[in-house]
Amino acid sequence: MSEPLLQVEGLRVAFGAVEAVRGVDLTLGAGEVLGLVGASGSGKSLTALSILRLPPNGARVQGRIRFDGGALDTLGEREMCAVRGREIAMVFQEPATALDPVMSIGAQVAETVRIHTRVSRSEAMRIARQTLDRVGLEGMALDRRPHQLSGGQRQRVAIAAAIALKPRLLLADEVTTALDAVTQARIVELLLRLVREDGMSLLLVSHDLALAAGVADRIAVMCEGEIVVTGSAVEVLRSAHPYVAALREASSPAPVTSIRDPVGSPLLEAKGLVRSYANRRVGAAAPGNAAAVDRVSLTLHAGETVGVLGESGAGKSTLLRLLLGLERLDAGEVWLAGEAFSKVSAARQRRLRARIQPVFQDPYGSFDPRWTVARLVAEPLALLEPPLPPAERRARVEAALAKVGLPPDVADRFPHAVSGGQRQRIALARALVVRPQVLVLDEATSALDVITRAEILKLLATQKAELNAACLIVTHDLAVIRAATDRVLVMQAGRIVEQGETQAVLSAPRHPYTQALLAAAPDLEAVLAGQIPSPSHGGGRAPLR
Amino acid sequence: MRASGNAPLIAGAAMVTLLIATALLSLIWTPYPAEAINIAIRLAPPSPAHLFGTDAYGRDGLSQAMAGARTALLVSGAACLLGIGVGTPLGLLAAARRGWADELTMRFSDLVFAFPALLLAVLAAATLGPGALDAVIGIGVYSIPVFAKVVRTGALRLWSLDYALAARAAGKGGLRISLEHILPNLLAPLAVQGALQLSLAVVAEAGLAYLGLSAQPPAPSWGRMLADAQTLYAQAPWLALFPGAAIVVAVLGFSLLGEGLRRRFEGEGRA
Repeated sequence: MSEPLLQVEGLRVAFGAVEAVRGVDLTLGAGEVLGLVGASGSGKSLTALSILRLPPNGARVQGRIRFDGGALDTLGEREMCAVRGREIAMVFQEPATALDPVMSIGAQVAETVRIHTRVSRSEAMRIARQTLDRVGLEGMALDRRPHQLSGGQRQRVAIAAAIALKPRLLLADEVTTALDAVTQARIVELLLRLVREDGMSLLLVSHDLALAAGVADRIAVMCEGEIVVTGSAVEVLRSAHPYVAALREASSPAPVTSIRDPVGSPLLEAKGLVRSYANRRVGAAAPGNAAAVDRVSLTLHAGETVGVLGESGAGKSTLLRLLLGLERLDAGEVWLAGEAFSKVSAARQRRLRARIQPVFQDPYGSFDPRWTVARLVAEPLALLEPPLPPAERRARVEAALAKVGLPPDVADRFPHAVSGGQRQRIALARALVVRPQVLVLDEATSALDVITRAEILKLLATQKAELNAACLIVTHDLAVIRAATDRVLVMQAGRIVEQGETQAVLSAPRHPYTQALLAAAPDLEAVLAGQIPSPSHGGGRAPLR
Repeated sequence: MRASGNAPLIAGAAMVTLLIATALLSLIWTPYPAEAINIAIRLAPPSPAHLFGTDAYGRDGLSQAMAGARTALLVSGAACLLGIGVGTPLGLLAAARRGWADELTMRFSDLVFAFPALLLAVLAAATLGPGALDAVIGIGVYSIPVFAKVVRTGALRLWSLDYALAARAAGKGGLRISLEHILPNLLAPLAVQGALQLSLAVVAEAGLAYLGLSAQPPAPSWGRMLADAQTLYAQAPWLALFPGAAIVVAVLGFSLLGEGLRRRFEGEGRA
């Protein structure tokens, strides 16, 4: 057999004394789809970046990389520039930051073309138009700017820029992680179609074993800088390797809920909440007069966990801010523990705040980078009346950290010096420190790999039980809804379109939107049962809509 | 992490240090008293005894240039403090309150922007009488909107982050969040803008002094040295050369420092 398109041998990446990638071997044939799966911090992104010879500052890279019969690792920077974008292209996780906000989308795609070929400006724009059409943005004006696009559309533009010159190899680094399930499925479908049409090879880097299993010809599982298992999707899924087993189990975490009949009056009640951005100034909201939240009502009892499921842009985060009293209501009321939270005086509202605490999504934006963990976790303690003496504050902080399974020495570190999973635990500790009755989680597990996600969910369940608190989980992640919630509300375009007990809704969704969401979710069981043929060999998932 | 490779920072810091050291040194030692007149040696060209030559009154050029650094730094520094002192709270307020407070501060900024520093200094001179304070007020008031806008833009971005939301959920008000979370995270852009603004202030101060709207004689000042040198340009070109070079060093030093700091902080942001 001829030499594979890409061959990586003994790749090592080190930062000082710490080795992040420890001898990785990979091969990828022409037209093949290889899934590189691992938890965050396993070195999978570094591996992809090293293939392009774009490691972060301070990294030492060793190992042999051969591409299309020639060595890549000995090429000079000039020659590498000719390879990047032309022969090997890359798409990144976060479409919001991967695109230049001041450049029109047409120009961004045309840029790739103009760097590598000597075509005229108008010819480059023509290629940009064709490429955007190919990625499913037919009719999208070339002069649109990234901020006018949805997350999924932005990712399509990023893909268009990557494939404009029909590269031989595409590196896709967590390209769907920031997207909801429906959009994710469409983007994956698009990537596979492009692979088929152009005979391109694809290295799909993801923490999502289920996703990779559904699309890749072969999967390599990475753990702590090494590839521990490699083989076909089914082989990998059936592998007895303990890490793979853990990944597999965490991909569909078992329900940790304790369904009980709601008793007494609700802890949190929302009645007909409306928030629209129609009267805001230009630029403050999406075009049109869309109501971000439209007549949403919900109740939450002690001990209960309710999920709000919806795509990005469905109004979930706005709903959450309304519930927290952090945004003005246009209409409706929020009741918290028998008091009209949204109507009481500011002083009373402040007093009530200790009963409802949020856990936010973004593990970077959630913490002031200049504050120590102890100070961050202690912040909500200001809500308590009378104020706690300093020694007791410190004790409360350490107790909260211990509850979420963090060692006390984390307290004096800064948020950038802890891992993503630890950051999410800190966010949880910050909410728990005042012993609230209601916890609201805004996509609190979205940025985590599956194993960490399962740990955080377990932690949440025990803490909730201990406080006899109620939880509201806002997410686009079906696995979280399935594992952690008793009831679910499905939200689309600001409205609740379906609600009911989680099991009932997920097993027999009535609303077409819920059905689409469910159909779009990657499913490990189905892969194992052979129900989903690997799409790069024809077939493929049924198209959505 | 790697301070090397940031040539602007090193060069800028070196020039600014030189400037400050010179100004401090001039407080305790100059080759001759900066204001001593000695008609006998007037318009002496540079020589080992008078490295920068002497002016029309026989004052030592080097001593005057050294003492002039003091005036330049004092006036520019005070002006920038005025700009930061008023502009930063305005920017924080605008970002924290939005709505009418934002409109008001930003329209006020636009209004002040419409008046050049020179005009403001003339206005100040007309009411206060000529003096270094005019230059401080003129340049300082002019830089208020600059700092207000830098702070507002940065603060709006920080307010949109989850930690500002978390602080609000912890019951903290706009003022406390501004002081505890927003301002400390804006120190980097403020330092960059401060250095750049200082370089502009040095030029503005020299310009105002040239017109007689800054420190008054006999206090030495680079701008006035230039003004005095103008009529004697053909006879004594060194009189213009040295204060001119001093202004260039100061402006370049602060600009490079600002640029170096910007690169440094951007590098941090990426890490």
